[in-house]
Amino acid sequence: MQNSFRLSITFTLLLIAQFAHAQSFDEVMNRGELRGNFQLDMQYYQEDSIIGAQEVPEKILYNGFLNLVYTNGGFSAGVRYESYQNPLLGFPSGYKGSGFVYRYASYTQDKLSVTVGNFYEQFGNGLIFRTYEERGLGYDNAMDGIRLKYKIYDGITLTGIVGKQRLFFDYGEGIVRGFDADIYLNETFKILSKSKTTVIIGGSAVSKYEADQNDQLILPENVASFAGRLNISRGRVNFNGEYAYKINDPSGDNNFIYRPGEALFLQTSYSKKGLGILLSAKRNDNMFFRSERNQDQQNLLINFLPALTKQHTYNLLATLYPYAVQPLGEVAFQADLIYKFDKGSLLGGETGMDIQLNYSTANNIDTIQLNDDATNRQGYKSKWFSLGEVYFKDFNVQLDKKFSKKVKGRFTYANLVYDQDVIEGKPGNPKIYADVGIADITYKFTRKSSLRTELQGLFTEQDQGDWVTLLLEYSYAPHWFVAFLDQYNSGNPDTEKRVHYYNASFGYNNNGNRFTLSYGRQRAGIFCVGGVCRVVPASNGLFLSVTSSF
Amino acid sequence: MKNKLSPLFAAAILLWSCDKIDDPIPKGLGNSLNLNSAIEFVTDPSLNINDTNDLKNFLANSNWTDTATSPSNTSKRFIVVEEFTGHTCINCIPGTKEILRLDSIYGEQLIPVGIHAGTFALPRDPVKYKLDFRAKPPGFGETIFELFNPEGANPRAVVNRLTTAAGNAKSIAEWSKDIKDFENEPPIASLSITNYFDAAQSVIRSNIEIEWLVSNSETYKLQLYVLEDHIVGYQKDSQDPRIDIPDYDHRHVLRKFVNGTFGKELLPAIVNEKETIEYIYPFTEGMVENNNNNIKVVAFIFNNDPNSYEVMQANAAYIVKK
Repeated sequence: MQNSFRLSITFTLLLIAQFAHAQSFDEVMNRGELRGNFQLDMQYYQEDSIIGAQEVPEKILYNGFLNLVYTNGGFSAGVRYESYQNPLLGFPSGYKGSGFVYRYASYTQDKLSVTVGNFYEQFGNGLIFRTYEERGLGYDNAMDGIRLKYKIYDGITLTGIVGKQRLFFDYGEGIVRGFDADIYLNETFKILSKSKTTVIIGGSAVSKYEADQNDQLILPENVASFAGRLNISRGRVNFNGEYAYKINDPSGDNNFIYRPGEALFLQTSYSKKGLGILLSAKRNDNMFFRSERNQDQQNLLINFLPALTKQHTYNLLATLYPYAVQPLGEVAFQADLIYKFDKGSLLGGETGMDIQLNYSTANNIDTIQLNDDATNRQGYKSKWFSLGEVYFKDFNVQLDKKFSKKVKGRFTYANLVYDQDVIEGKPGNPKIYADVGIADITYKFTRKSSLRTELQGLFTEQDQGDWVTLLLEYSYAPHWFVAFLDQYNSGNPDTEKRVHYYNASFGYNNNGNRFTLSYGRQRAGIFCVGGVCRVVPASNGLFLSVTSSF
Repeated sequence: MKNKLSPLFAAAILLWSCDKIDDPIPKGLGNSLNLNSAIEFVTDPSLNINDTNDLKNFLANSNWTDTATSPSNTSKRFIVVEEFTGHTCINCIPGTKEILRLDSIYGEQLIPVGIHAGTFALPRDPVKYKLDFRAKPPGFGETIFELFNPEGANPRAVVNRLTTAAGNAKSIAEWSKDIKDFENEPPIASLSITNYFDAAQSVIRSNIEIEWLVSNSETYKLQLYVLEDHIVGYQKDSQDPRIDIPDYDHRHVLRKFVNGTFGKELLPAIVNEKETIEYIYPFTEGMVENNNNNIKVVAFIFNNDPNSYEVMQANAAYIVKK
């Protein structure tokens, strides 16, 4: 209610300001543009104790939102209404409710850009500051406050932010302040303007304030972090590096130790027609950074540590053992190679073939415990160039091949090592070693109709044992599709848990509107985007999704 | 350009102050309440016992009417079965029946704990499933449930927190085998409980005495639960023609975590060394009035290694003498 009131006032004032300088109402409105999008995900839940699926007292739960953005010249304003009555299972229960949770107005005048209200922003790679929204995760750490961006000189942009972060339908207690400078040297210094090498440097600082109300420890009320970055490109080669440092930030995440945090991110790439190579490395140590020190899950995170693992899309690979970034300590490496075998070549055959090779690893940092809880609480020491235990490994290869005008296929093999104990917080579990094979074949009957078949198998002797999946998806372009999915836990050591997860769905698309209806079991799993994950509980029931945009 | 930049940089620098803390421990904290060197008293904050004088007065002025003690387990390893259940779980009654069958075989060696957590434990409609069997403080039972039974399926149980490769609680058919595996295992410690109860204040004193029978370098913790037995309320059952059984006898219901979700760390395990800890705490979480005869304290020692959490010794005692 309060939000709605504030929103109305904001809009009214901004529109008055617009009209004051305009010649007429019509003239102003004709310049403007309104765009929006809507989504509703609704599920009817049935109890299914075989798979641990819950019946919910409300029977039906849903997540829904509408985004509206109005732009008119240098001015823009927007609102988002969200409704969760109550939120779908697996989403944080804090979302219970409805309201205008996101509203902003901004304008650009000459070289200054001003935003008031909510905004998303990222400094560099996000190591010390990134606010963003990921609806599939229920993740939204939007700022509510003021942002200024000023192009102070050729190639130099300064950004300042201040405000609080969104926490469901409220805001966190902590106040976040930040500053970033981005300098494109080739524009700033004329001598470099014709250079083939482009160089961008940047620096940022972010500080949070939260009162100390702890009588057991003296807590820092202001915690600052700093980062510096460099990006160099020449021809087909690009290099991107950033280092971040955070001062003592005792919190529930790190068991209230006072050790500083550090992160280093390095990435280099080479690309030319038919070939792409990407090499990345990252080390982070004690880098949870939240605007409330006692929050958990994904709540009120100020920073973002990129995942150096491939984000898979096929169901078994994507949701059984995906990697979640470990901000407390991680050393990760990734190599990615994409190569196109030309038509007529030995391996390319008549139609050519694409291959993608990917290898990634993530280890703990190597630490020595200090046992200093009663003194200065540094927690541990760690060696920069030494690796701790393996958390995750993923070697995968993907082939894309068109066999004829009617048949094309994508074939994937992956070999995983997955530390469930650490990644999912399930103590005592052994590491999981899994092989995964996937065949994805599409057969085109006509120009409009096609059948896509996915056959997936995940084979492991640990955890829940082997899984197999069959998906049949018939599409009639451009409007209709119908699909049937069965996932079977064929190798579960507990025979009572060898369960089929059937699911049937159909959908209709038209003019920016999409309707999807499905019925069946949903396996418990993990959904991750960019190394940030949400546990998806098992469920059984009817699911409706409506999306629309204009 | 310098002139343009300088005020902005100055303003930016002012934005982020930072507090570097070299000595995080406040002075004057950490007084322990030891009346003598043998016993460590741990008092609930709500009782406002702040120093040894408060403690002496509290002990002297309370009316400790009964003394109830646990059986001896010097030569036997007792076994804790934590069963995950819920009143709207249609498949859970067979689980409780199996627990009662095993209880009749193993007697005092087996300590069943019924943990009502997860969706099937939620209070539902105001007429039938209105009772909240979940343990207090809120969320503690859920933590244990999510840790040992992440799939959320019911009924499931962990025996001495022995988990499968998947870290999951096991289904009914496997409980008896797991118990049998521990049946003749020698204990690494003896653990005894002596309870004192002040009915007027609803305060329990649980005196826990541990004597190590072996030495090792593992870190162990002590966990204290309060259980309530024989709570009558609704229970769903797929086998019963009524589906909703109105007068079901809920057994061994975990009502309270006395010392946190993961207990208190014990002194190192050194053979013949003893450690005595006395918890003083209110118990107002009982669901049946004047049910003191059915209130039981369960204490167990478990390995603090998150790769294990194995329960090494346990015991149970009612709060009033039977």
